[in-house]
Amino acid sequence: MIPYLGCDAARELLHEFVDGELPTAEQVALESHLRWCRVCAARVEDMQIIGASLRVTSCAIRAADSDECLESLQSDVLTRISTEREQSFTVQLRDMCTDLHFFWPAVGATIAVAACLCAAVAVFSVTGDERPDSLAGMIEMLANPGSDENPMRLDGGMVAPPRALNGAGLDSIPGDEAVFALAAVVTREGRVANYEVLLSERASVRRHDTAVEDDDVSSVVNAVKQSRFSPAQAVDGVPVAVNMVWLLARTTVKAPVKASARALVEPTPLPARLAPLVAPPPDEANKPGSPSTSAATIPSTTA
Amino acid sequence: MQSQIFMKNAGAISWSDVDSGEAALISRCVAGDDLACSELVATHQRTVFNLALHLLGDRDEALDVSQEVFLRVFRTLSHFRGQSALRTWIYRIVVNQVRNRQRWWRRRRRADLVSLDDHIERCGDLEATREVPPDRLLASKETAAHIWQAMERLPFDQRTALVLREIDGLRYEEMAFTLNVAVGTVKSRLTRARQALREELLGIRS
Ligand SMILES: [Zn+2]
Repeated sequence: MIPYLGCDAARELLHEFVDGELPTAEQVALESHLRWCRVCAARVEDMQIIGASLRVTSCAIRAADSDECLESLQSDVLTRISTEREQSFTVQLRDMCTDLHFFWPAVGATIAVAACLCAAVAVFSVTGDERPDSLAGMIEMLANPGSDENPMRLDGGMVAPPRALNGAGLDSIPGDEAVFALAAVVTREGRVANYEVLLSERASVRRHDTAVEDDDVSSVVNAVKQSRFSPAQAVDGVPVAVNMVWLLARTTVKAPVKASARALVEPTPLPARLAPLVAPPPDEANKPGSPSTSAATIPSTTA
Repeated sequence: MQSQIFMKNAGAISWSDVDSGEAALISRCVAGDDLACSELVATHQRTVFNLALHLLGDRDEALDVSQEVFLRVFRTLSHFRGQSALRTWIYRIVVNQVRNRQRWWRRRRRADLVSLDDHIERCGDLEATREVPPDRLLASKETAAHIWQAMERLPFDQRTALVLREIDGLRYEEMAFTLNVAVGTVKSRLTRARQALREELLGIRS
């Protein structure tokens, strides 16, 4: 018994019928419909004409000269494949560079990274220059006793700066006797820094001309400033900066009357030579801020 | 031996659509066997070239696309998992390559279409005998040429569906895989394409 199929239902199935995709039961029903329905049969016939026309034209197109085209196709493909296998890496790289969607972002990213690195280095270099009055600078200073900023107290275990200060500065001062007390720091490099005149006195010359007196002080200070020392050394031999107090004095000792005739030849007292001694600091030199001292006394010498 | 290794690598994936000879050929191509690659191209080059030619309508373009298709086939053959016959899988690559090219390549009117009629006469006996007697179908060679030109004016999706069905003879399932759409979509595209061409045919008759 073949089920009845109306025209509307049949029309839904025409394409699948033409394409041979209908299940058997529906195909039988549709064939039955097509036997009496001229409209649907005409539709099927038109679809078959369309299909046949396309196939015929396709055959005509491909018959023209496709064989000549295909001869080169096979060899071209194989050549390109083998080349690609040999240079697969190069090809990938080239593809990547050809595709500017990847190339320019990559360039941009590289520049951005470089800029970030430069900025980071700049920040580090700025913060790396430590200000001496910053907290980090003070901690650094306190953590390193013996530095120029944090000189040490000269104790017995250290090697004191050798004597190198001569009394030349005193030579230009008129009068027989003069006493100067100087506080200073002998740096790690052996230079004199942060000097301060604690006392200047000339016993034998009672001048009250302050301008001349200032000249005397500055000549002594200049002599001290220009002096160079071997730096003080800690127990382990490392040079350290130390606080020093020098007492510079010139005294003249008069020869007794019964002295030899030589005294008459040279009555003028000789300039004193400096003889620094390491000694316990005198009380007057113990100022706050310069706790460690060394005293230098000048033994008077005469002929 | 190579076939066994290939089947083992494929694991649990079904290879029901790929016969053992084809699987062996694929495995040799993946291994870099030039002879196997040559054989694969020889087997499918005519199909690939003709489909590209029918869709593009230009011989040089079709040849260019065919090269690209085979390069793509060999680049991605190691990912082929037998989800379809190799032929259908290659069809899919052809359609995608042509579609990509359509985006920037303006279709040119083919000059040799005018001289097509001579070829139709020659081929008519060979091809059109498939389902219906040719004397009734080919009322005139001009009709066939007109239908072809109307087909070329169809939207790409409808044109592709019609070519795959009528010329390459793909079944709905194969077309769905090739076009990456549902079977229902395949049917509706075919229906619309045929309606447009039938109107053309009715216009010729009147
Ligand atoms: Zn009907």
